[in-house]
Amino acid sequence: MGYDPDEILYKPIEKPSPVFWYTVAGLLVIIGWALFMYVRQLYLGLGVTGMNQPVSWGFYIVNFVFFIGISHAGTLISAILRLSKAEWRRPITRMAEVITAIVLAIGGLHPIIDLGRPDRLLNIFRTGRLQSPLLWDVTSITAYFTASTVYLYIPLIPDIAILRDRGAKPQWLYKFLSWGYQGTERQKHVLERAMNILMVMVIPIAVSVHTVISYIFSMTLQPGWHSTIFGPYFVVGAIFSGIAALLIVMIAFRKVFHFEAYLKEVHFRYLGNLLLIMSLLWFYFTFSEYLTGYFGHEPFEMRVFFYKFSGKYAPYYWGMVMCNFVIPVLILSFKKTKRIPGILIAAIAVTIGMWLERLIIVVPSLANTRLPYPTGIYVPSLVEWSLLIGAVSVFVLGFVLFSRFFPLISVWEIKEGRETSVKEVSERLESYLPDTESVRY
Amino acid sequence: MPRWGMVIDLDKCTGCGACVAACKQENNVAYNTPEEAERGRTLSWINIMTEVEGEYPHLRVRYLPLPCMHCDNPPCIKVCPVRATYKADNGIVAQIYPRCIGCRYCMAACPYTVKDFNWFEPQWDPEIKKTTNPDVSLRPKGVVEKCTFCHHRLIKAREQAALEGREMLEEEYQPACVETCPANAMFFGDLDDPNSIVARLSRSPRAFRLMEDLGTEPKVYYLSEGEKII
Amino acid sequence: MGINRRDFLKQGAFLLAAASQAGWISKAVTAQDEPMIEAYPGAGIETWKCSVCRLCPGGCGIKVRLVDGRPVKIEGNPLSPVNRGGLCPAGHAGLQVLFNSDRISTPLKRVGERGENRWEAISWEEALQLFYDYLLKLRNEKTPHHLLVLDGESRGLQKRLLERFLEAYGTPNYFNLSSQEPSSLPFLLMHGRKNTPGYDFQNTRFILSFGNDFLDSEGPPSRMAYLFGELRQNPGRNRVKIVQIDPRLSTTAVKADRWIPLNPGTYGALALGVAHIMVVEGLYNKTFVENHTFGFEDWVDNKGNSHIGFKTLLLKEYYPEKVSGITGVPIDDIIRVARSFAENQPGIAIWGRGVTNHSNALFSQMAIHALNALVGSINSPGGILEAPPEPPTGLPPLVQDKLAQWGSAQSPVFQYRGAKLPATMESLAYLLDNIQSGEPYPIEVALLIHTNPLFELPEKERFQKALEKIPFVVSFSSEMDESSIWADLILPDHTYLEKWDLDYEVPQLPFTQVTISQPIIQPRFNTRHIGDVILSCARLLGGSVQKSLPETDYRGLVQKEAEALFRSHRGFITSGQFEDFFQSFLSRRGFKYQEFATFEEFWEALLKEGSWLEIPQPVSDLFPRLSTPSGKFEFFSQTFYHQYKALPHHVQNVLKSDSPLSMALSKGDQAFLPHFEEPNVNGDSIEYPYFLYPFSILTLFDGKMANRPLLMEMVGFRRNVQWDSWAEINPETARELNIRHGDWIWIESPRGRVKVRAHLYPGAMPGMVYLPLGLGHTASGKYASQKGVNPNDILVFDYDPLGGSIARNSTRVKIYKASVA
Repeated sequence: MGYDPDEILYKPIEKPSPVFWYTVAGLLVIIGWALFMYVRQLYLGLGVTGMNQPVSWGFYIVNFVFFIGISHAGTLISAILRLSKAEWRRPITRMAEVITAIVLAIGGLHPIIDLGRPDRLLNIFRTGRLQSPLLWDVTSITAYFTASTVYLYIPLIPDIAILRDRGAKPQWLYKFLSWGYQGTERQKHVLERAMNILMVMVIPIAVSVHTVISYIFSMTLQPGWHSTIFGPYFVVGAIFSGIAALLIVMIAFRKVFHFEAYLKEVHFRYLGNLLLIMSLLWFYFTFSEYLTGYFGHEPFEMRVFFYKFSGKYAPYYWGMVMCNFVIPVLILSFKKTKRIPGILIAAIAVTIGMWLERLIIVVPSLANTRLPYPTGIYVPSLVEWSLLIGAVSVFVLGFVLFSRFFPLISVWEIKEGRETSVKEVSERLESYLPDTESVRY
Repeated sequence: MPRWGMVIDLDKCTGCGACVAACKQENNVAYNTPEEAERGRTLSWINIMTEVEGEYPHLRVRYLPLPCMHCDNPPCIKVCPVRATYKADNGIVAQIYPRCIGCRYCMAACPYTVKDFNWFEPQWDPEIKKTTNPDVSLRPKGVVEKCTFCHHRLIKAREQAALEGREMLEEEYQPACVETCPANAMFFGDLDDPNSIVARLSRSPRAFRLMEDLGTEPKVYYLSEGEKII
Repeated sequence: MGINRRDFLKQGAFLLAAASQAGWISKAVTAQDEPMIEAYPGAGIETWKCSVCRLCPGGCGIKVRLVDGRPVKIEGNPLSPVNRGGLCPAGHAGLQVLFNSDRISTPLKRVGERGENRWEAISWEEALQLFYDYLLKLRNEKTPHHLLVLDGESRGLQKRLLERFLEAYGTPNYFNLSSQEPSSLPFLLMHGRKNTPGYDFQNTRFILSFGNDFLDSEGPPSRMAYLFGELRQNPGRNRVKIVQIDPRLSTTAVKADRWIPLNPGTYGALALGVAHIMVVEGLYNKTFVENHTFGFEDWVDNKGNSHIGFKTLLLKEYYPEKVSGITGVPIDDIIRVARSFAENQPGIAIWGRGVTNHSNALFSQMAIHALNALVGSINSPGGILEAPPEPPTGLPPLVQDKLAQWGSAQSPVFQYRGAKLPATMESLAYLLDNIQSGEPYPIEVALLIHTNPLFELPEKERFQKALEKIPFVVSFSSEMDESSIWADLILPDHTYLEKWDLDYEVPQLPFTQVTISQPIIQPRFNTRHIGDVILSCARLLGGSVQKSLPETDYRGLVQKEAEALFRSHRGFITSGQFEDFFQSFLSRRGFKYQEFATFEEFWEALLKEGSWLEIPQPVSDLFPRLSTPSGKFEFFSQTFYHQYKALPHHVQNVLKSDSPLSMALSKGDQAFLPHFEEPNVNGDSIEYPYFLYPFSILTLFDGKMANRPLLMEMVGFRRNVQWDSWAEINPETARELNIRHGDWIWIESPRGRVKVRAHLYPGAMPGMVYLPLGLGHTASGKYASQKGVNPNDILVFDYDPLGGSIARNSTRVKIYKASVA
């Protein structure tokens, strides 16, 4: 094989730098610590957390919602972009899909971490009650996880085949995973069919997942939770945080693996635009949610409202508004700031802001009971912090490991773009234009 | 099938807490350490709520004993993913401790905040453990527990009646809180029997239920306090 | 390659199947809900035993549920005329008294220094010998009165036995330390009665309560709750009105129709202000006052000296503007209270610890009691009734030898020296002073019976110093409390659930009742009934002491007393459907009671049902002659006046010029009339701007119940506080001090300071800080010690010089934020 213009994309796999090992080791230490904390929690009970009566849900549920939210980055964005034939998607989709798969696995584990009796987990199959939104979650997350891992894997097959053919080690892995893909026309055709079907399927599943997660809250009667717009509100927030997470990942790996040639300013600008739109949309939903609550002035609703607006959670609330609206909108509205550093800041802000939003949704409603109990206090314990950091580490580790074995940018799609798309797009573009023949004076 | 319910006369209730103590002793509700109590993890199936309104010296303070409402339309059972909490035919909302997976969804969904969670394995003083009630199981860590209207007493009364070959009388089944109430402010019985004391009191003009507007249909009625003018 | 993959899938499927066949997956999927605990080992046979609750003076009848002989639950006995089946929270913790890892299991002899808490376990023979040697020594040295008994709990038969023993032994020094005991002195002074009368709450229409938190920590709690329920909602009667006058929004104040906060210690002034309005507006019961009282109008004694009457004093001194100024109660409220009290008759004016916790307690009580006379609620239905007769006794007549007669006639060590005013000027303060100075005689042996003065008293150093003067201190405590640590010998008593006893003397009951206390289970440890200890000492002492107490064991004594009940042919054993029985009984107003042919049957019934009850004759229309000098209710206490006048002139002069009484006596006739005396206040008002107001709580009483986790967990359940003290402060006051809810604050008095968490409560009066009593133990078991703070640590030891009660509400403090939590 001669010179491959995309040689740089194989580099992390074929010539991993020692930094990889340090990173993995460092992350494993953190994860080991988190694991130890979790085993301790298993052994002693959930009392090691900061949860209590009435704040019976804390970080674990917050992280659950947050991580599942991030997962929308990927599959949904890549599916929408693929579906709409946005050509600039090519270097992005893979990372987006990886995010989804990893983060879903992490997020999906959180409710189990949160269980008082994880040993009885299988009771949900034995004596499950379909009426419980938690069971809907189990169903939809499982479906989404299956769909999105398949959706990650299918477009990965040609790349694995390339790696197999390049003799990348370990060969058995690539041989096994490539499923004998040789790039024949039939194979290409089947691959494309599969991708097209998945693309369409994955979008409603993704939407359903976060809608159902919002139902966990909105199906109860609790003030601050019992809201009809929670479904779309959560989906919007999820996509919002997903894009932010995607941007962070892109910027990070662009820097580490020198993908500047692939991830250009324009990709970030486009995604930045998307982020800006989502920010405005998010604000619209937040505004509607809180204004209707405030306008009705239902006393219990107001207790929660003021707890967020001016009470104990005011710093988090206004921090959230800052992070999710003020900062991204300011940065992304101006050309001058809408560059990679600015976008990075905005993306980080949004990630933090969306995490805060989940916190603000979960805790204040529980802390302010309808009955005159004293307002609950929730101070997360070391265990919970450890598991949060552990979860983030698992995410990073997952990404680092993936990058060690598979290309983070879809090689064949780039090649395809280079080889066929230019022609295809110009043809398509022409087809959009008014027919010259029909223009007659 | 009777529909068991409770009436609490707030005009009689002195907020003495006897119901709280009786309940803990009857149902082996584990006591917690001061450190745990400090973090809001005290287990108590019935609580005395104190509501304070106004400012010195024109105050309105109310005590409200708060057991599980045993709603006819309980928000907690709908959300339980494993059917660990359910409504029995006789209207009692029960919890199956060996089945509960400890997700605490029912606690989050309960508008009355009457469910408790075992954050740790209960630590019983070996001496005090000798006084636990053999009719009620001890709960392990990680499960949610709640007021059962002293369901074990119903079983006992029913069995006793069966043994004697007769129908069980309504008065034979009284939860511990009702039995002990020094002010006789609590009543218990069959709400479906129009002549029972609870059914009659539940029709009193003073009768109200907590958060009736939520549609949970609680089976614990309260009778409001009388006029207080001097 | 394809084969490889297929193999892999096959292997995977196999592994999965294998995993699901074995181990936890299959178990969790297929098994039933896992069992919680092993099956209960016993047969599960249930029995019930009746007894009596001894955790407070309430005397509630209880029945204990035992499963296979193991006590598992205490319930109120529905047949008990006291509580009618109810039981307060403390009563439920009784099993944690019986089963407690901090119990003293055997007699202990001190080996280290006093207070060092080092002990040697000894046998009962040795312990009794040691105890007996000291008792014998005092008798041999002809100083039996050097024996002092401090009793915090005994009532009924146990008290009767102790009193009998001490009389036969020859000492007058039997001091009741139970701070639950209401003072009966005003009754003695105003209508010549030694013991607390019965309160006919059943038939009253108005309760005017001065600082009596009867729904919480005062009075028999279960009984008061029962009565409250009856008075509030009972189809057969009007809803009773309750006015609570209290500087704290106590439970009773919350439930009352009206809460009237007033400046601490000014109850007397308010009562007199109310009386003033009643007199001015003619709202008092003129017939009663004219016919049955003395000293209302001005009067002339037989020597021709004229004295002012109560009316003159009221009109001159206690006009509303002045009273309002003293008490801080708006004039409007004073008038309203007076009118509604007069309108809603019969009514009762009662007082409680809020009143007796001040140095002017006695005069305040007299002022409040005067209100009862003004409306004629003395010996009338719905008012204050004659104290019910004591139950009959089976003890042989008291035999006192010369020594005992002489010893008993000595002036008690707890009386103010030099002024022998019977029944007055007896106080713990005098006791401590006298022990300290060794005058008029030293105390050589002290018995602490279920009392814990080193925890319950302010300025405990004073008590400690007094203890140091006493060569031999014996404690009968069943747990190692703060005071027992300072004893030389501990003779652990049974807990009340292991004891035989007969309980009566529940304060304020309008009827006589006896409740049997029987062992629920055999004594769990090597403890011994205090009654048995006394009886064996009596036997060893021999002579007249033994003759007075010939019984050999306490159970026999209980049976003998029960037999006396049986033989008296008074009263009846409550049984069956008590309510029906009670009502039909009342309707017939007769003496129909269950007849028992033999004592054995009676005894069996008593053990089974628990209580014996005697309803006194209904109040007759004829007002009885009272045992005061005038035979009437005395606004002007001639009892007190005569006592005082009987003193030699020089003693009178000393009392007038240099005694705790000088202030009152300088006012002439007022000293013998209900009047307002400024309460003592300790601490400079500028340096210590706030008033400390300690209050008792139902869950702990005075701290004896602090070692029960059940109660510690609900110690402040109405305030949502567990296992800790809390300082109630008005939000306004807190704002001035920059204190927020839950902040750690120091409360500092001239005596010291304590750190506690602030609890903002609008029911707190501005300028006051409230602390619960009963917490802050330094000993008394692992659940009690080091939890919360003890207000007694910072209280100044002050007292009512005449009535003797400890003035706990007289200390000023300053409050400031603790810098570090």
